[in-house]
Amino acid sequence: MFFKNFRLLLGIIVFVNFLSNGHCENIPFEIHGFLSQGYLQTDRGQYLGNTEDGTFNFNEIGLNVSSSLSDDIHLGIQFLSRKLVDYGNNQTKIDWAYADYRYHDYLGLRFGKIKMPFGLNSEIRDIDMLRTSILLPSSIYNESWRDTLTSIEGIGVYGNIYGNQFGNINYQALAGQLDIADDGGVARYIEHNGMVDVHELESKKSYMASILWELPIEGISLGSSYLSAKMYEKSMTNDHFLFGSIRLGMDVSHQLPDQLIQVLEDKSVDNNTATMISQSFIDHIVPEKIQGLNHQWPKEASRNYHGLDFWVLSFKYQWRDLTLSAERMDFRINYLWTLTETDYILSSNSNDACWHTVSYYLSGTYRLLEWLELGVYYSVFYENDDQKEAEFYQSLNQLDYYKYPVALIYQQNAQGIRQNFVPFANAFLSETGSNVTLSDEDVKNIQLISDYELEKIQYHDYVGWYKELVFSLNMQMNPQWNFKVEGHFIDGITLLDWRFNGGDIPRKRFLFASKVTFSF
Amino acid sequence: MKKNIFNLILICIFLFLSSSNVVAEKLLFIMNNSVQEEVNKDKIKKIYLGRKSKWDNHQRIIFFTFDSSEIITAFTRTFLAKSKHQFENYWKRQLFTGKGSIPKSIKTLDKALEIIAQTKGSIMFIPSQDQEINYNNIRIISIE
Repeated sequence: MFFKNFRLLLGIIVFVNFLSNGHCENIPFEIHGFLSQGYLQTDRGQYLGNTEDGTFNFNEIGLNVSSSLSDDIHLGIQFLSRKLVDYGNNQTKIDWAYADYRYHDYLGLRFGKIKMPFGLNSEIRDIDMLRTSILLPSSIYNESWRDTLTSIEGIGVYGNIYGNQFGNINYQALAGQLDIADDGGVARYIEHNGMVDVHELESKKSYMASILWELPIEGISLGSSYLSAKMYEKSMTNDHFLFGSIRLGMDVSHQLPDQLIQVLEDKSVDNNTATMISQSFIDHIVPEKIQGLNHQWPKEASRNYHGLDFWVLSFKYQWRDLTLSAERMDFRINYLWTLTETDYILSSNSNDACWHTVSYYLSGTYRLLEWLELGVYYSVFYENDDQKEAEFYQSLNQLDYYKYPVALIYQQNAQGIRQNFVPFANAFLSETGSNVTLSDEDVKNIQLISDYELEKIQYHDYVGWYKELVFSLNMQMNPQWNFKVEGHFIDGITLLDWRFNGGDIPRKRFLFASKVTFSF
Repeated sequence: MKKNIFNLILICIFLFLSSSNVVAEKLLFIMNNSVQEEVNKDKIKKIYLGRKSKWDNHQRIIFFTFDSSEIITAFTRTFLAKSKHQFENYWKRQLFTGKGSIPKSIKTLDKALEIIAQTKGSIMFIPSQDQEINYNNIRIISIE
């Protein structure tokens, strides 16, 4: 912790020194910052790491330096170090750093690492004292995606357009690349959902636009933000989620059609035992390339996310000390996944997949006293809009599925094995001089049987959602100090990191959070 | 139990009503004489939310706040339709996202007059005064 934040201090000292020396001695600059320390505890199960016994691994430290070079040109940089149980790990990062040229109030240009106006709160999610709650609604502001969806490296235009008749419109448009670290929150999210070990994540060009319209009706704002991103993922896996077909495929040797067994027996130099038949099959029918695969673990897979589209609609109403807000997000994921080592045996190992996540929240805050603010929100997240009904998960349990979402892949690959089996077998038979040929009919009963023991899991419908009802108290002792406490009544697990929850994951849990923040 | 809940609701309603009272403080605006254009309520809102950064003569707008909780509350409620805390958080948000700086606050009327008189393009609100203010290089207006 100390050494990581030493880099932060060093960076600031160098920057301040730069401003206060030489040509910059007449340039005024400001330094501000914040420091917060929190505590998290769950009554059962875990929350983004080990929280069942309570943890102080929850903090944020930020420092920024900004300066105006002229009336129109501004420069600034903010360093941030944070930790949220198993996320963040207090690595000091540049939160934002950009140059801003304001040509006019209706048009400005920024370049550098720019905060993204994603929804109403993305810009301030690192800045605890600016909101009532400690944790933002997870449905829109997923903690796993936090380090990626808060800023973009590139260029942007922005401005305000005002008219008495239509109110004020604030717009921003950005183009650049998202910060997607191989060991960051997105990688974790993929890992705990896809049961893979992410080795490489490459961000491609992304575009974002946002608009916030303050209506002429006092206090009402409507907003919309859209983000289109692309990325490439390379992973390693031991799991049959992606490679089950190969491991299963090897064991079709136990189910060879009688005609083939007969030929193998005739040609065999051994005692025609079942073991040797199986071995003959592996040696002769299954290509060498594929044979090796059964012993080479983990294996490599890649996914090309050619569409990561986020669309958020926002509503906000402020009346005196009361603020009501609501947001809805539609998140569509389109990707092509490829099993790089298996394209010989399976023709269907590159698949286009589409995922549609729907989420929303309703929130209200009220400043009851000068020093006390109350907040409540209800947040809902559905992992897949097409699979949010309980019946979907009940139907999964009735089938012989093992690990999520392996069932469909098993089915597809069973068909693939059968389709590929016939030409392999016939080629072998032909080489042996046999007149026997196999047809699809002969292999229709081949079933995929694992060569290792699969753990059958029971599907619960609550793996598909994450709902939380949250009550917050924000006590502002003075403009510099905030102390907050809040309680989360959580139902569902889809946004939690499954690795920390073991096999038997409780559906409901209570999360207590508290945090103290100092800012200057 | 029901009685306790009823009492709690009554307390909440009382606190809600008492905290919602707008401070009926009258305000004046003082401006450096270099600012000659008309200033109305709309313009004040745009200035204090950072949406208007220059006067019509392209001079940079420099605005200050008066360092008094009651005066700021009266100002933000009347001109910005925000509470004091919402206004403060608005500018902290600008600050910590690199989009602006928190407006400087001036503690006394004398200091305010001195700074506004010396700073071209400057403007700030002050509490209304019983006595007339005569200060070189300063224009005083009242906005309803």
